[in-house]
Amino acid sequence: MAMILLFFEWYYKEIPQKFYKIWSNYLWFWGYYFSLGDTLRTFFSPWKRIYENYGRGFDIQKWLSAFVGNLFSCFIGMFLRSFLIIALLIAEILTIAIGILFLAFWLAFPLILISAFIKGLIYII
Amino acid sequence: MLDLKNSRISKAIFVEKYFFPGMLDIFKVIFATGFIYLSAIYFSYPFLNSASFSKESILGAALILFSLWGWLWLILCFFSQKLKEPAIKGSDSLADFLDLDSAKAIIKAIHSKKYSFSLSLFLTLVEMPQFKLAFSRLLLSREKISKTAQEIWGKGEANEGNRLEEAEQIVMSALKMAAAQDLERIPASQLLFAIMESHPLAQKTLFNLGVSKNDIMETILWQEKTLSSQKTRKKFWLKENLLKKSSIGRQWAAGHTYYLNLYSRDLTNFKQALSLGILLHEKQIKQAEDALISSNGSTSALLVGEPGAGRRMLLSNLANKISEGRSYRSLNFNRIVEINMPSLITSSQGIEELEVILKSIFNEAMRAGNVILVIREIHNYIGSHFGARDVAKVNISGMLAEYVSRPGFRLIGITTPEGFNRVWQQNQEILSHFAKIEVPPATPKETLAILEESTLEIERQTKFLISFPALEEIIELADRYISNAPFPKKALDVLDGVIIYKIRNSRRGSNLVLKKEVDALVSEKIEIPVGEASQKEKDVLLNLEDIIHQRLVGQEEAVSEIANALRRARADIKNGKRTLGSFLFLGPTGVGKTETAKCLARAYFGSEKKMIRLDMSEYQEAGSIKKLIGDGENPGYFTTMVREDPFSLILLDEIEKAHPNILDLFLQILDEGRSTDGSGRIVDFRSTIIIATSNAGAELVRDAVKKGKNLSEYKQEFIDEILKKGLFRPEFLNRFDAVVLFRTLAEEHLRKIAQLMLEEIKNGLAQKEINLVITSDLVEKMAEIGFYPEFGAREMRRAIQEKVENIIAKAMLSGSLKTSDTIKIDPETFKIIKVSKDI
Repeated sequence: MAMILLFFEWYYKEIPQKFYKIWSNYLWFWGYYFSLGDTLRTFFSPWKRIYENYGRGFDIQKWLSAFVGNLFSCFIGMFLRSFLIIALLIAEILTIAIGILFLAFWLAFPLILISAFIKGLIYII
Repeated sequence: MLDLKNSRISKAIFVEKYFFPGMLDIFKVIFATGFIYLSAIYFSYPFLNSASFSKESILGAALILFSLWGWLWLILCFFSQKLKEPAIKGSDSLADFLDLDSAKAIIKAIHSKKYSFSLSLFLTLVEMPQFKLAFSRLLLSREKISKTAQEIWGKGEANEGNRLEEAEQIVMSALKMAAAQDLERIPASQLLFAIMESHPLAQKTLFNLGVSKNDIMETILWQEKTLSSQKTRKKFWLKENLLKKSSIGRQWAAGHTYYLNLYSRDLTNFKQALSLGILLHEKQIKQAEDALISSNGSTSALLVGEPGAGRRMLLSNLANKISEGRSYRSLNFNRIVEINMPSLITSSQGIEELEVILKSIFNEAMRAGNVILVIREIHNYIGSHFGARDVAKVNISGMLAEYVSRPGFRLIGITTPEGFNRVWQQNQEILSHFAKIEVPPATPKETLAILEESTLEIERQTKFLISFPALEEIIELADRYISNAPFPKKALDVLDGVIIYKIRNSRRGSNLVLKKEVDALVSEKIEIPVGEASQKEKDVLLNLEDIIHQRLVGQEEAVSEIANALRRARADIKNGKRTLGSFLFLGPTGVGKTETAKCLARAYFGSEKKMIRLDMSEYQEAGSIKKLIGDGENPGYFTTMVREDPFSLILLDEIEKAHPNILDLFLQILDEGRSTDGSGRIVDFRSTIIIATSNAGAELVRDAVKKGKNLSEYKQEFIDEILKKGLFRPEFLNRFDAVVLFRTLAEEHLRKIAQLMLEEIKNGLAQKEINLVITSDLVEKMAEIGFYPEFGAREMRRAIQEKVENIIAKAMLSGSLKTSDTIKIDPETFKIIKVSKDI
């Protein structure tokens, strides 16, 4: 009897706890893999620090050229980084979905096994 | 109280005893296979022509098999994850700390009817399959251990009353040992260690097997560490393993580095994490991290260490730490990039172009904001005074000076102690911008851990099994005999050498790498025998007196004293921390002191060329010590010779003439077997024989011999006398293994010497196919002419040169002597007489 109680404790408490740990590892991992912190921090920064100097004095032509160039560099940076963030969001959503599915399956697995046995017997008989 | 019945592990024991998990595992496989098979039939049912069963019954059977498989799988998981490793938290019962194997072993030993508790436990533990590999590494078979243990323990009374108490004691001490290693549970290995530690009969068994407790512990722990690190690596979902993967987009905010990429190697991409987690140079890694984030204006570090001391390993560990985000926030995920200076120098046309490229690299690194530069052997590119060994005549010191003080410029320079002394200390201005980090060589213990790590890789590739005694021997011999590289390199080199040696010689042999193979390789490499003395060497040592006397006449007392001292040294009776032997030869000139040294060099090291001879009269000034050991800029003559060939006989002629400071240097060498050269490197003298000669007090020896005194009895009196005269300091004389007195030569000795010298000439002529007949008259005559007791045999050599060698040389040059002539020399006129008829 004690052994059966122990089994249930392991099955419904300890394994879900372990699973939760792995799950949260992966949720964290995507953030690391897609460099979430750095990406957000440098979202508006120029791409690869490509940056044109405005130079000394004020030359409207030069200033405009540098401004447009830098704006473009920032825009490319933002564009690519947003792809990264989208990829991160997809990965996180998939991980959450797979996690929920697995957890649901795990909780129902003993019932599935019992019903498979009963169903099997019915089919044979 | 050891209450095994109610312990948490008892449930696992119960399951194992009555449910046979091994058998359940087989059933699990059968059910799974059945399920797959039936499913396949079910889905291909429409295509099967004749079927004996209905589709439903096949589905039903498949579902039942699936259900059975699922339950068995769950039960086995439950057994291995929960029952075998029950929670320990909150338990105060000793038995709860045992793991399944340990608990089973204890129960078996308590209930053994055949043996005493301790023997039964020892035998059970030794038989466990997990220790098989470790024992094989120690060249022990489990059968042999069991047999020896049974012999030592005898039949052992099965004393029922004490069994539980004994068990409790062992478990208690195993628990303490496990706790010391941060282990939660007591594995079987800790029980084995506890019994080896506490039981005298277990210790005796090990002694009889010729293995030490520490060796067994080290080998088993090594294997357990390997297994546990493999296990951790397999758990890919752990954060530490996930961190090993590189990330995307982190470099997007960092500047582009065109030139840097062209001439560099990114160390962060070479993840060479040591899987056993050898913590080598941890302190230095920390120092480097601190230097790189320093806020005092400069963020550069200089690693100063011998090549081979683990500088590269330090860098790669630092690179790993940074790339896995385990360092400071501002360093994490930065790139450590090594500039390939040789390639940069060869591909740029001229110094101007090189400077332009290097400047671009430095600028790019600073602009990128995430680059830590590395320049290997940086002393080669600094300063205007280049030594002979510089690889390139490039001086980047000006440029470095400009950059190192800029915020955001981070550089790790790698240099040697010699390079540091030679170059850096003369460029104090640049040096002040670097944090100096000394990288000491690994200790023998750390080196063993590194060897263990490499061993696994080598074994995977070669299918050899490297025995533990072989690894220990590598450390021992490398430490003692190899001084041209530091640990760990020298040990790793020997390991590589041994593997090549083994591959070369393993056509018929076993795949086990043994200690004797390490000895053989090291002997081959350093050209002197090490390890157990070979038969040939034993013969040399046992007959050393005779061998020396083949070339040396007289001096029986001296020769026997030297031979005895050397035999003691080779049999390792002596403290291994000193030289092989050290002797002070005292006596008049020309009595064979130098000749004895030469004979010894030939007998012990195989050649007279293995002699480093220093005329100490050249070292009468205090400053002349620089000539011997060098200074920061120039290497010393003496220390370089010894470092290049540590198996030498060092002959210090006329030692009494050296300056007292130089005598102090030798005092330290004689005492410790090592010394430090001018650039701070350790020079090892433990494989040398040191002989100092002096003719101080020669007239005393001469008088004593004249009075017919026995030299061995007279020796103490003589030593007292020369000490009284202040010729030597007592502490200097005491450092020698033996002070040996050489007697003046008598006429009969000179006759033998004349014979020996003439024979040398005869042998030389024989190579030119000229036969010299040595007559006894000639020997007599030469002994008479050469007899000057105050000059010893020196005058004899002069006489023979003049009277014999010169006239033969003249005759050969004039063409009057031809091949196949047989000649003798008239002792009166010293003219050549040809004795063969075809003259």
